[in-house]
Amino acid sequence: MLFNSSIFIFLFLPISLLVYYWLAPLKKSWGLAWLALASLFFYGWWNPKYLYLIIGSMVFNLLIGKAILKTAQIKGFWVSIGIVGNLAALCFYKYAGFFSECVGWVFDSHFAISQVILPLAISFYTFQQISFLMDVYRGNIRTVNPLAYCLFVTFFPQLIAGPIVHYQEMMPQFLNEDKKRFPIDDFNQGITLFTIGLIKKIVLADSIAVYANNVFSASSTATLSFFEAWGGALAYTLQLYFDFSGYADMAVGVALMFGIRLPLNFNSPYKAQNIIDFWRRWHITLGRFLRDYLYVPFGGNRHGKFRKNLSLFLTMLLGGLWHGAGITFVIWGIMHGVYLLINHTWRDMTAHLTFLPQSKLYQLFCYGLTLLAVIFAWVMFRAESLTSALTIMRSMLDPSEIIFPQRLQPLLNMFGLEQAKYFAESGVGAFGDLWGMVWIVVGFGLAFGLPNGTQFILNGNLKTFGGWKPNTLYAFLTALGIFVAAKIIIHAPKSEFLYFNF
Amino acid sequence: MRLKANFFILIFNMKYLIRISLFLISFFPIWVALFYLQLGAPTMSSEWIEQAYDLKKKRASSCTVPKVLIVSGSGSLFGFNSQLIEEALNRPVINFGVAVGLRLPYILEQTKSVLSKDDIVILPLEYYLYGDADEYTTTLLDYIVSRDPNYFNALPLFEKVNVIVRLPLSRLLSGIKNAIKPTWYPCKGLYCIENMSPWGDQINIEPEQRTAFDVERLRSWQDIAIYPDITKRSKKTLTDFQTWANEKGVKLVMIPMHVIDNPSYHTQKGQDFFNKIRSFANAQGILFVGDVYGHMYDKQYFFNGEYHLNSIGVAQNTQRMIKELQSSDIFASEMLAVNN
Repeated sequence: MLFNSSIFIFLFLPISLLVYYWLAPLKKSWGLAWLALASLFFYGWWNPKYLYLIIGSMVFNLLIGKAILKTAQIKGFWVSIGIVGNLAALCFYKYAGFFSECVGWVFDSHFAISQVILPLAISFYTFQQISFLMDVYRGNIRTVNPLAYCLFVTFFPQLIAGPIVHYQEMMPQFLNEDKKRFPIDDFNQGITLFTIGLIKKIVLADSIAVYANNVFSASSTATLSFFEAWGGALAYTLQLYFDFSGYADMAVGVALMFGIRLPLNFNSPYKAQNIIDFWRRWHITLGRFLRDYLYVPFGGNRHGKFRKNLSLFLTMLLGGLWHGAGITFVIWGIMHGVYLLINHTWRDMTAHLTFLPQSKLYQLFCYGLTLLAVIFAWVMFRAESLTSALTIMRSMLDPSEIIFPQRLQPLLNMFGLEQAKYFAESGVGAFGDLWGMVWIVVGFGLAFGLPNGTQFILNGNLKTFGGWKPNTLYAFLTALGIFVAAKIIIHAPKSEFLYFNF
Repeated sequence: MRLKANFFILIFNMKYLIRISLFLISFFPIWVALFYLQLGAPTMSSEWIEQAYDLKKKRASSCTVPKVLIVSGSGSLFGFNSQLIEEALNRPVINFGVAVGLRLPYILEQTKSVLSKDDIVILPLEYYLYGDADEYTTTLLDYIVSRDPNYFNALPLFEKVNVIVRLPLSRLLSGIKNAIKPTWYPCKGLYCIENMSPWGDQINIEPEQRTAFDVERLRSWQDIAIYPDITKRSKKTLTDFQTWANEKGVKLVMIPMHVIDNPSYHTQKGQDFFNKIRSFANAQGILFVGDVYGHMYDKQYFFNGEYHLNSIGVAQNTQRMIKELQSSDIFASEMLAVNN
């Protein structure tokens, strides 16, 4: 069930809310049980067969958690079993095919494991449960209630694509007896934030997607011009941004409607001044997980520069692999690993140049370079194959193949560029189409110029915009957003969120 | 008293939500008003369809002897050389294929004004049309709202509301723009009336005439959906049309639609689906002529999609169709009648 589907918005969500707010004031556990049941229904809507897997995974982790609490002397043994068990399931469902292909390639044989269907959200609920086991192991969790644990894993706003939450971040909120009967302030914020996220997804992300998809599809068989390649790369950069930030807003918004505050997962990453900052803004909870459970255990920055760099590199490589079982994802991870190494090295080298960060020109340069690096990496991330990725990147870097969109001919002739080459109106990518160019400009304008949804709704009193208030203006805008979204959803084919694939 | 006080406190606290609800409720009459403001305002996106139907209907209406109409979506448009069929069958043939997005009920409805006794309707229906569950596509909404408001006005109230609610926002805005200041610009590209023969066939579809878009569209084609059965809606549409045709003395013939061959069509599931179409035709007393698999061709014969043949494919498909029709009962007896 998608957040941007009519069945979710008009049926599932209202019913879940109504029943929850009827039951929870009567008895807390009834409310939790209802939510857990609704969340399992939400998950099973995709494929009921995989309910067995998520339930089995929860039972396994719950038993391991209890074993860790009961047997403090051998808790290390139990947590190891838990982590290995979780990763084994993840590796089987997600990576078996990929690893078998690698083995076949290395040994030049036809060894291959047939395609296993990837259960929805397995990467997310696996990581979430690993973090739970580690928290139990570290003594951060002293007691576990099965119902609370079930809800922790399955709570539907964050089940499918994060944020990856810690048990202590979420469950105390559910179990808090002092909570108001109906959290009207949270609900108002939630419905507004949900609407913002919905508009980002179905208006912005889905409109821009067309210009990305045709370039990446064409790249496997055709050559692309300079502008076609850039048109596709920029379109995907924006599509992914609005898709993921839209989802993050919707997840936080729905959780708020239940009076639950989820951690921030997305914080205007394209405003990052460097790659280090980018990873503090993009998929924040995944970054947190990778830092706490990979980077630090690998040694972090406690064993010298070489170990630090190696830890960073390996963490990003595995982070890339987490996103998908494919060589392009691995290379994407490696690219970001290299970016981070360069960033850290540069920062160390220029630490004494205190005037540099004050310089506006330098800041602008850093923004631009960071964004360029991210765009190139996204090409690798999105491409259907390594060959496609390299085709697009090559075209992006080849000025000899600068071919302009036909509609720019009169303008370029004015500047004496009669000899310029042009591609036909039907060229692929955002620059082959007037609307494509409009979306690029609008998209980047929104990404750079406005506060992100969560900032705007939850952090009132923003310097420039004053922040959201539950007044008539925002009621009108929210209603308009819901109306526009409903119109589009009724008619448009359903589009999945990109992060559902991970 | 306490309950009343609590109730008013609750309402006071919920005023943001109440405002949202009131605004939402008020948007619907505004939407309806804007809809009627632009009803009948022609859009450029629907111009080609109107021109295509004008050409085909004019030719059909000008026939003084019983004629043959080939009726489906653009699969027929890109599928046949109607002039050759006309010569082979010795009666006027008009290619009535336009756009599958107009969906089966509307496509069949368009033929009624030009059909008379002893006419023959050949139905090489795209396989989508047998799974006709979603009745209002963007193409259909655009067309009836801009070019056929009489059709909209004749709909029952529930269907009218359906159309009003389903009209996309972008389409409403372009309709309003055209109602205020009509836009017109010369047609460019494949879907222009200049690329249609007097018989209603698509022309200028040589393989080398394809644009990058056509190449990409063909490259990214997807195999058609294999349905478990013809949907109830499609069955009802065809049955109703057959009843109308019988009353009018019009004969129906179903033939297979040409499509890019794919292994999935040759599985048991695929065979069952195609057999169900033939069985439906037989059960309704509609002649089904031709071999489904004989109309499945390699991708090289197609222009820009799974149903759109190029000129070489059209030639091949036309010859196959002529042979199949000539050897069928309906045309054998017709040919005898003509010769006598």
